[in-house]
Amino acid sequence: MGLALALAGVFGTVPVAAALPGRWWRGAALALVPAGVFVYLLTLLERARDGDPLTWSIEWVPALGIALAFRADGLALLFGLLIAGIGALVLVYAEAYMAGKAGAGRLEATLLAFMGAMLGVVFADDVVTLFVAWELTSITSFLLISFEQEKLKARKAAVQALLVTGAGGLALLAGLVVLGQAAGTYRISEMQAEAVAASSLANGAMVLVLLGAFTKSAQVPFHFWLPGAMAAPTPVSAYLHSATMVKAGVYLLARLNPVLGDLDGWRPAVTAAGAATLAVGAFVALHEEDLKRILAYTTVGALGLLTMLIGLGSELALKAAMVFVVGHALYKGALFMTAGTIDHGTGTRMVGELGGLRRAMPWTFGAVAAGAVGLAGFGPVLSFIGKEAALEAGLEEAGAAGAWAVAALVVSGSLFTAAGVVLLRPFFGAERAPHAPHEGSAGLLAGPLVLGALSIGLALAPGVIEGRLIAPAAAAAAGEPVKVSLKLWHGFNAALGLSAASVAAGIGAGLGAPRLTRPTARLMGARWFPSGPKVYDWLYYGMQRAARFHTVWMQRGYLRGYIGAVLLTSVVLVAAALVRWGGSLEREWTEPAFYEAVAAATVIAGATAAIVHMSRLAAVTALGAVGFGVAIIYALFGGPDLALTQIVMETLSVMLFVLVFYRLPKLVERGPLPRRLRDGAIALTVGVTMSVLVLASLGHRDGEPISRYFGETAYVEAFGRNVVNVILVDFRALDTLGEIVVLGTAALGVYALLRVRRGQR
Amino acid sequence: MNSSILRTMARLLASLLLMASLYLLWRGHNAPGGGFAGGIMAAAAFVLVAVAFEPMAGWRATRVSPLVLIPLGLAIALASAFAGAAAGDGFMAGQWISVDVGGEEVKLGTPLLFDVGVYLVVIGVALAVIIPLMGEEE
Repeated sequence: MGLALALAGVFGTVPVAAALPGRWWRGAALALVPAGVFVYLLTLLERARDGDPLTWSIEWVPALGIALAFRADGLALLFGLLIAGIGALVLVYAEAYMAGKAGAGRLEATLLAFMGAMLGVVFADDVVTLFVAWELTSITSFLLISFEQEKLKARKAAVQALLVTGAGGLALLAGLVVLGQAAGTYRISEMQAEAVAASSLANGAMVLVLLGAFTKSAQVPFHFWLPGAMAAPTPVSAYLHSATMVKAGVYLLARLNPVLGDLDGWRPAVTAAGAATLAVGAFVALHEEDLKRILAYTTVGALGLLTMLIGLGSELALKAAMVFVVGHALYKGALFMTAGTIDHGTGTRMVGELGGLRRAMPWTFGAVAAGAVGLAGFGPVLSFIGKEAALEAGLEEAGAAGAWAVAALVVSGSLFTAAGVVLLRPFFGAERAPHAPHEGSAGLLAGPLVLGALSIGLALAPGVIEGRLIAPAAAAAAGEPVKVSLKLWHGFNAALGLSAASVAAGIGAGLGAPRLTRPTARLMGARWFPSGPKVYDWLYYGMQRAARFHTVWMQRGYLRGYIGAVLLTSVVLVAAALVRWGGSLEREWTEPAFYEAVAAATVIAGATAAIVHMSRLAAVTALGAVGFGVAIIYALFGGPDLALTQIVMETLSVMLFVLVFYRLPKLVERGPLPRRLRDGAIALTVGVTMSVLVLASLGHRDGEPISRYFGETAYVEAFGRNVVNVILVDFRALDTLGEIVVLGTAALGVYALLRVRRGQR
Repeated sequence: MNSSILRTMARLLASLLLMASLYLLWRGHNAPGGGFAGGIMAAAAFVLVAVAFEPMAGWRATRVSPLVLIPLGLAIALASAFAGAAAGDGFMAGQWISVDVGGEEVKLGTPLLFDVGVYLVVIGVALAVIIPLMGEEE
């Protein structure tokens, strides 16, 4: 119950955030909610460690085995604590960042909505629950990236992120459903790896789930949306696009590792994608000038590192991944926030335009320094422990995977270090900035300083988290108990040596960065270079072109074209079914009664008149006669309800036609002969096919007619003697509800269109 | 249309049509009729007013704007659907009460309420489409 209440509390604060006045205390006040959730989650740690995680569920779609189910095991709690804890800091930061600007409340409200969705993702124990929350994070992310909606760049970046993660989300939905089918349950905690592996669906599910996780966590080649998402305000970048949302994919991989990890393709695919992403992210980061884009690419790299570790899948690797998740969230969150502070204090985020800030912005300098050491992963920071463990995991791994992993770690280690050096550069040298630099306010500094201090503090006292937090999380990701002991100082070993070498190389590269990267920058800037955004644009505009072609071809704007297409399609389908059926059409002929003949003659006469008359009004009136004739036939053959509806409907539609035709130009000719012949042929085909269909279905009634069932139950169960009405308003009322919704929507559309036309005159 | 005969008759006919439409709606559950047929008949009554006087007269005659009737009807239909859920029988499960009217037992249920929703939506839809078409020449 507590978990559900925590989620409801976060979502419930959303409207409060939008309603509160924009005072300095608003951020801090709102932050109390995630802070409370944070404390609550801390109390759950013990149960998770003891293997008795808190669970809560209610039935949702019991017929399909779908429930709203939550479970707070070690893995979920680790991510949940990051989401709530950093979320609280981000809210304080966001208030200071917006500094009373309009829309601050909207920003904080959306951040809270995202927070709730994200907590839903990590605590979900049911795949459908997970998916719903997952999509909600994509949507809130879209809203946050496009926060400055008047800017084209922001809108484009938001659509790009939504399309990439949304497409991945669709794959994920399919993957989760297939996985549920293969496992025989939608509860993640009840899925058995053996059952899944035995199913023929396993590999399909795996590929689809991987697509979902890779797009969300910006793995190569889907990584490009993340740097684009930097169009969002900095609090959003710090929260969604470094510390939490992008880690949802990593979370999912870790969550499903016990279920899917033993399938043949899993380890190679996940490890390779992670290693490639690590290399690409770390490499491209050096080519960027904008502080936020540098951080975005190092985030891509870090996500690759995490993915790679989960792919390796050994106990050590998973342990390293869990430590690094926390370490990365701390230093990257801090760095992102300082990027916003620098932007505020100097008026730019371009590294090249800044220098000597350390005197004017000493606190920011401290936070950046802590973050840069974290980025380099060398020194008394939590990410150092994580990276050393990762290196050890790579060294321990036999074969090519281990070698590649170690190579990726070493190379990216030096590139990350270089990026860290670049981040520090604005603080040294002669003072340079677009306007006189000034230190950020307390609200801007609190977040980065707290996170930076935690990054160092937890490294100095890793015992605080090793048993309570890291071990249960790694155990959940491994699917078996894991023993964890974290030490800052491991003594001199191979991992330390590799780290030291790569960091030294990185410092050198960072100092020489703009000159060293010029050739590769030129290469990547080349027109033919297939960079992610370009490929996306090709696909995006290609899709638009295809859609335009398709639309021009299909939507010609002639009513007769649409009617012809609809009729011919149905005729082909019906005719194909009739030919396959191939039964006899012979019927016993009964002499029609006089009034039946009159009704039939009315219909035929009306139809003929509608064709022959040159006046539209006369034709429509003649069609009305057809309708009334049909109504008489309904009445004669025991369908009074149909007849009644037909009559009132016919009246109204004739009225409508008259009103419309009144405004149309006079019909002077009937169009060219070939077209008339074509239309005649279509009409004849449809008529013949429908007649054959009626004849065929009249004589071949297999099975119990449903009318008997309705006749028997209508009064007993629904207290109605009119079966038609009982069906409409009771037995199949959901259909009717859908129909009136459609009707109402269509009518509002027609009304609006007619009004627009009048307004234009 | 400027015909005093039609105007005189329209008032009478429209009220008769409206009463007939309500009757159709009421008896729909047990005999031919129902919200759809009734709604169209009521719409015809308003259109008659619109034809006899001027288009906006038909629009105003509904008292509640047709544009409001549509969501109102949808809300009523939805409310009747949720009544079953509220009673614990599941979404759209019919709920019935018996009322004693002058010694005769009358059964009232959520399906009738649902039909009222349909009735209102149909009136709103028909008028929202027809009346603007008529009024265009103003």
